[in-house]
Amino acid sequence: MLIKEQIPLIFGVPQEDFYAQLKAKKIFVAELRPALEGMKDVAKELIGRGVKPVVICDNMMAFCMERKLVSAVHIFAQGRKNDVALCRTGSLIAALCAHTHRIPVVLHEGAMPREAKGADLLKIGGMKVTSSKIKTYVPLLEEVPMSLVGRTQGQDPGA
Amino acid sequence: MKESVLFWPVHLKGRTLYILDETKIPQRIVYLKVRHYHQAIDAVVMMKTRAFGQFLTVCYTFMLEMQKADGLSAGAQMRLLERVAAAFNRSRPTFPFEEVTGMVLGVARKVSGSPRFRQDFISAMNGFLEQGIRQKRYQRAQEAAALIKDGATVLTHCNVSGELPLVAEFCRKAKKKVRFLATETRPYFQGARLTAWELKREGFDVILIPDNAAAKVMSDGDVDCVLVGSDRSAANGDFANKIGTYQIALLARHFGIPFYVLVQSSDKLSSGREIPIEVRRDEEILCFAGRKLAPEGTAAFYPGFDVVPHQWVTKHIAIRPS
Repeated sequence: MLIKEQIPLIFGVPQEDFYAQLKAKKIFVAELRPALEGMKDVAKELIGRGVKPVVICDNMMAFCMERKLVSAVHIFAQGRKNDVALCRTGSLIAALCAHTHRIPVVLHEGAMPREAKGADLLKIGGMKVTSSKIKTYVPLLEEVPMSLVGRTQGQDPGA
Repeated sequence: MKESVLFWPVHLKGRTLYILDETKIPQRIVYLKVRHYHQAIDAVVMMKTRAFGQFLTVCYTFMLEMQKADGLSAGAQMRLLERVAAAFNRSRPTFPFEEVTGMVLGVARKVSGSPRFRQDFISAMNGFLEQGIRQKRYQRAQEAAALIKDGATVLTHCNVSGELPLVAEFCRKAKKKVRFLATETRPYFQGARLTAWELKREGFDVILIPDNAAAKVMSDGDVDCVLVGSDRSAANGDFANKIGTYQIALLARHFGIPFYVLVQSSDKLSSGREIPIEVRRDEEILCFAGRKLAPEGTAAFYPGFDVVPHQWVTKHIAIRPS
């Protein structure tokens, strides 16, 4: 679908308080490879609440920001230590790209990513994508510097 | 040197064009048999071939149509070529079809006064592809290999039409160890299906990562340089490539990692802002192999390409027009 207005972008799996405060009627949802929790779980939750999920692949976030289609970026932390938040892998991309494009980054408490095996990257929706002989690396979490975050919302994950 | 099947994915034999169906790799190596330019355009629109394969498809389709045009007058042959050009120009927006078809029509016009117009055109095109393109791609791969240091890890995105194994081979010949990190490149998985597969097949060290792990590997210090291909260039050095390239270039700039791109120089557009971006169907993200992945009511947004500003490129490694 063509997107012409600015809408928020979610990278991660929110918890109930995030959905409860949601005002937007349409939201970019990063698909979250390899388990596709964004495309499946987050999209389902949004649809149930009358919000239209617009799924993008994880590699499309910067494009949407550069084209001024993103109003705010929401990422989700599993914990916080000193000046970094521990988030699902890909959150650093979302935060850095948002920072570059001067888009506010909001940090929420989030659900732990589904544990992914390397072999999960060779499939999508249970279907084989490529040769099983290929080596893979699927890191679960990464650190996002708090300097990239505009504000935190909900229960402070590090507090 | 041994070439990956993706290095030259289109072949003309007699009156049949064989186009490698890249959507079937790695399960099978299958060539589509094309006998009419409409079929070649279908292959392009359905993304059976892409990037350099599109370029070869255009060039060889003109040659195919001329092979079959032996009963036509020179004037009718020229009009046929113009029809083929117009059809390709309408097929997909981001790839510079007009530039390629314009170049081929230029070759045709140069020899159009010859009594052996048809044969001279085919011969000129063969020469252009073998000497003008194949050899220059080898030179470009060699130039890229020279930039890679011994022991380096190279992050790549999408697929560089078989040129990456050649770069790796030049490194091997220079006794340099090189390792590749290939992003999977959703939604078509060119990184997983093509790049990782062809590098592994040729015996090179490659690790597949999700698109979302690009910043993680860079921040961990696991990437020494980025090397990608391009679908279209502008005069100022901006270039378009598969969606996700812009994001990787932004990250490379942030982490101070050299970013190299294999390009075809062009001065038809002054900047990347003029490159149209193709937006494809939602289903191409939401489905795989005909099976739906997302819940009912989910929409998607699928821009096929993005544009990297020239300021973020450490070096353009170019094939320059003759």
